[in-house]
Amino acid sequence: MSLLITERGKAYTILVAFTVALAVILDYRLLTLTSLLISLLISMRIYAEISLGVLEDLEVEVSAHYTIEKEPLVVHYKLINRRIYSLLHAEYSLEYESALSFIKGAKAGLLIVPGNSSIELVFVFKARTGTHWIGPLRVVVRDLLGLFKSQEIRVGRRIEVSIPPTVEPVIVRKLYTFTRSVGLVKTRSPGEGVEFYDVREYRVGDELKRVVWRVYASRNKLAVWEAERESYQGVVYVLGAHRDMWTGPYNQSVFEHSARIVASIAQYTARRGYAQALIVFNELGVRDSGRLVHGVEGFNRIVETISKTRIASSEEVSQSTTNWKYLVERFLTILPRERAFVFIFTRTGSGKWQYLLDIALKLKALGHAVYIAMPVITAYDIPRDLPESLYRIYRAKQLLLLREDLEGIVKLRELGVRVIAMTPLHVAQRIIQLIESATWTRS
Amino acid sequence: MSTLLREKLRRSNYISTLLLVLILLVGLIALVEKGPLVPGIPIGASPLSPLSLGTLELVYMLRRNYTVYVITEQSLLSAISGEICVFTTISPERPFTLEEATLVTSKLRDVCSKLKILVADESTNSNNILTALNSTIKVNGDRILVNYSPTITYTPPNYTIAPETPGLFYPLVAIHVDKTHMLRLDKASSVSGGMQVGYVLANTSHDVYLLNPDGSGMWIPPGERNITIASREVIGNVEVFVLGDGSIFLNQVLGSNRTEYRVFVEELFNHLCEKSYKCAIILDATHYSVLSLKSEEAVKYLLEQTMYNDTRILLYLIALIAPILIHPATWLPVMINTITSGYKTLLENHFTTILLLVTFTIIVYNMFSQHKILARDRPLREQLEEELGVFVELKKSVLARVVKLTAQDYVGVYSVLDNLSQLVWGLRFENPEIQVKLGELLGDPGRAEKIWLWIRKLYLKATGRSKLPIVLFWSRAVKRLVEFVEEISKKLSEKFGVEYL
Repeated sequence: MSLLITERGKAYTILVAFTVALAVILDYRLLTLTSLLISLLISMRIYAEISLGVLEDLEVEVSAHYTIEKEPLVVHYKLINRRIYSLLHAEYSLEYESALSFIKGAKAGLLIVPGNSSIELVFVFKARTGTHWIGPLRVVVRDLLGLFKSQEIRVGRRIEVSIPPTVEPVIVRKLYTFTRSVGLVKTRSPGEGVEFYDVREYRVGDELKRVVWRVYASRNKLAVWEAERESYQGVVYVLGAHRDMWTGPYNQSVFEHSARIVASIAQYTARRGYAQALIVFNELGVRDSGRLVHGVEGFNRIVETISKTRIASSEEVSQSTTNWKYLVERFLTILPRERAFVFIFTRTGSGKWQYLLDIALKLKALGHAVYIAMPVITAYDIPRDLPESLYRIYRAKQLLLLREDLEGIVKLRELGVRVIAMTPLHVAQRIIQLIESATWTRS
Repeated sequence: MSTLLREKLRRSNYISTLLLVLILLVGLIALVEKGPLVPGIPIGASPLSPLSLGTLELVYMLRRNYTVYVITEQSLLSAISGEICVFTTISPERPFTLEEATLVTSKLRDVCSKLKILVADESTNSNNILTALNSTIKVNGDRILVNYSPTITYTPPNYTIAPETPGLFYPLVAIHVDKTHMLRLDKASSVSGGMQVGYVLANTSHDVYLLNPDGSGMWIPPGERNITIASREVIGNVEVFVLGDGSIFLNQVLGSNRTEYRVFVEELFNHLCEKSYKCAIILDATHYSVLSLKSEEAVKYLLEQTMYNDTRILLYLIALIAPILIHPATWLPVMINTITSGYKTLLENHFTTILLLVTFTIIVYNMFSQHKILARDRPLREQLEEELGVFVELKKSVLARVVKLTAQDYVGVYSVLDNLSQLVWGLRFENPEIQVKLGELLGDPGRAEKIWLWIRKLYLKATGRSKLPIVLFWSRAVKRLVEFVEEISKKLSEKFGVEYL
């Protein structure tokens, strides 16, 4: 890294050069003044060079503390200066993903790191679902008069944080209430399986290995261990994470809402013992949680996969497109032979409906039940901050953008694909209703 | 200090460059002070001269067998070593003083085991050497004139020599070294003293004269015509060989196609060196004039030399002049003088003074700034937070009030309504049955009918299928349509528990 000369520095250097020229050509008595001016220039240069050296040798420790979305995401930058010189008035600015919201600290300012000591910068963000990058710090040093400045130097490393979606207890509670109130709860019954169901009296024909000897010892009666009948229902969630799926307020965007719904449903279905998996796809690629897994493990995998989702930048969106072929391949890899429910959370506009139709028909042909949950994006973006005079104009234009999605729904429905128009309310219940009713019917 | 500067300093050659410049400067000044290495043109039989009258050819010839020293300063004599030293002086232009001769001989006696002196001189310039050695031999400094076909009778003492008279100065002589050599000499002088080893070959049919340095001539009677031309003498352990002519050692003679001279010279030095490889031959180069290149004499002399039409001479002249021209002593003072006077002249004019100031300022500025890249001193850009989604640009445009509602927008919102009615009732909005459905939804069939008719009427105008109403503000119409769509959406949401828009 080298020093650059500022406009001020340039003007000062011209003055020095002119004084030197005057001293040499016209009047040697100016040499004293010239020497002073040159000394000042050189000392400022040396000062800036030393500061730059200190900056280059800074040791940086970066750490991040976070839990789940909506909670504070705290990033610490510890700058350690092991040299004897201090780093004075270095200007810094923190780089981070533009989709993140900075809530506390100073993302740009001036730094002083005394010699043989350290300072710590703390930056607080509001966590949001997905994988996001923070850092490094961009730093610039100057001399005392601002004659020289360094190029932007990146200090510390860039860290990535993967934030899982929250499971909304309200949704889960609603699901329980809903399924019980409409009689959709699958009744537990004894049968073949591995989960514990009950202990009952011994009957002729029961296997001896099932005898619970502890009961016999205490009550002098033979009792056997009974398993719960397994009722298998596979569920695969497909979550579109395209840039347009991030429409909406911070933490309440379409994707984040869908992710919370999926996480809540996944927790419910995990407790109900269903096997489940997740595929996330966007312009950057396709990511899945692997084969369908029962219980908490399945839920954990789903949440982790969602947390690894990255937001494609505008440049990335312009340079790449969704790999639908690979998405189909992933489906075929993870879907079981048995009938499974597939819920695709994505928009149908922008020509996507044709690919979705293709996928839905292929999966349907394999015996799976496919539902497309299309978020109604206008429901996520209520322009409350607009003045009344502009509100109607904005809504009119919004509806024009929604038109494509609605046309996609109509076309898909006409071609026999089941589409759920998804608004922030009721969609979770609708999905559970579909899963439970199917299971209930079978059992 | 920054890494780059450290690296730069580590790799830098500032100090070495500065030292080099200083050394060059000192060297330049020293060179100017000392003057050119070749200060002029050596004339006569100097061993430094490759010209026809020089003896450089002899130096090369002797170097094949012996160590040869060409003495340009007497101080160099101290550096000589050898078992046998042969000090040779050939036709010196300037006479040896007795002090010089004594110094030379004493120095050579100190450094050499055996000293031999060869004097080949037709003048008396070398006699002091012989005197310093207490030799009885002397070069008389006269000229031996032989007329081998005497048709003209010269009557001494009124006879005056005409140098251009052909054949008159070239006596045929016999010189005995190991063998006897018959040679024709140039302007030779008689030698007296010592043991005669060379004499003029003349018989009774030839006329022989001796011409004294003062111009008076002497006719030699027939019985005395074998005038001594070379003598030899041993004084102590110093052997002296004197030849009354140096011309046989000149470049023009040794370089000619006549071999007898080379044979004689080789035999003479072999004899003096006793064929020992430890023999050192010292050729004197201190007693020859050097013409300054600036002098008219030098120019004249060079012109004379070029008349010989010898390529070697031309090359020598170039080689001689080139170092003088290149040498800083030639051009540096001139250049500095020119610059100084030019600079003074420039400063007399205001315009040129300003021009100089500006130029110097630019040079110094470039030196100080070291071509550093100019950077605007602005604060670092803060990371901007971006609102994501499909409505970002739309919101910006609306807030900037650049968005206007048109008939196309009306058609667009209408198609949303159309899609909605298909989703909910499975009917196109143009279907009149929709009026019934709307009536049920809004709870006011009359209003529903009015709304439906109004929407359809404006849709037909927007699509160009009707001209009525004639006066219409599309902005208002679209806003009103949006109100209806939202009302319908709200009612549907209330009725079915599903939000559509």
